[in-house]
Amino acid sequence: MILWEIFWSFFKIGAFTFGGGYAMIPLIEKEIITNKKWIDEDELLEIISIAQMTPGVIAINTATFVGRKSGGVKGALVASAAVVLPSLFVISIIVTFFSKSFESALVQKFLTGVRAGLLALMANSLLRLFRSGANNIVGIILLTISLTALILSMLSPINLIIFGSVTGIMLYRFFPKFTAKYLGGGKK
Amino acid sequence: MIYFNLFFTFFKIGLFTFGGGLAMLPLIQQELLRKNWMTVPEFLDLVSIAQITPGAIGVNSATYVGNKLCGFWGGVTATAGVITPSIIIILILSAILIKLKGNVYKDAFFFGIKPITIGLISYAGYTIGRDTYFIDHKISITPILISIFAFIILRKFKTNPVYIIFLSAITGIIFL
Repeated sequence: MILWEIFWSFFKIGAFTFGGGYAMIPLIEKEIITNKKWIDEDELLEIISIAQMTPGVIAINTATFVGRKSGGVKGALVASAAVVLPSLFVISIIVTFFSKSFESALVQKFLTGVRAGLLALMANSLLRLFRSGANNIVGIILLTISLTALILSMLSPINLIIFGSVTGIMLYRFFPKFTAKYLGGGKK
Repeated sequence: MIYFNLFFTFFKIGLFTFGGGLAMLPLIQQELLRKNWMTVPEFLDLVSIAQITPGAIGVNSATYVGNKLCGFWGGVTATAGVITPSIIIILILSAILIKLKGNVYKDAFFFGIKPITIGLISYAGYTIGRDTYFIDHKISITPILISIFAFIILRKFKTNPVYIIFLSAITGIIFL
């Protein structure tokens, strides 16, 4: 039963995502792309692109979209419900049983460890995403501009997204032959 | 009545935030203080708890506020509120994108946006790295070693990310 599989996959993704939307990419790659083969790397990159430019929590946008691709509208609803369930349980337990804040040394060590592991996972995911979305000269230039502008706080994410989409469309408008080679992840 | 209020407050927050959970926090703070639902110290607790518990930060914040105000079902209501705009918008957009399948301008649009997205993800990695590897402006070796070992194990054994997170957490608790 695919809906049950979607539920279980996204429940696991929700339970092991620390730190919001981008932190769930490695889990989606393993669970949804490698194991279940419901979407591919290029589709994931399109989904994340849409998820970050639409309002709302990026993780929920991503889960809804991946669920939609994997199992239709029902899949979308199941995926979004499943990805928030771990939050509901964990937070309820914390609110009920712990009243003081969580600034203890142990929690900090736990978090630093989790983040160090997450960074390794993200590095690995980025290597995969480069191959799928920045595998040509235009992509490399856009990626360099985007990362530089973000680090130097020169452009906001929204402005960068507008810049990227206009560049893509203009390139196709003026250099259709050159650009067509790379469209759709270069699969054509 | 409070349930309706909770639902629509978080619906509004979900609808008007761009850039994910962290971008949502100022809006949540504003709403909570305006409605006298929380004090500033309580809000700061919320921020730390939302970031150290699993799940999306925006969802964790909504769940926490709902839970504090009216128990488990309050948490469910606030969470439902914050995710409903996402679900509606994404369902509409995905239907449009499916209709546009094969459209060259749609592909050109994504051709330009994908590298930007990779840049945004890399930048998220950069900020997490900065906070993890540098503590009080000093390089901290142990987290770097954890990352290197995690990366090697991941590449060599294709280990499930879940185990990587779990192992790194344990290593952190023992060695940091």
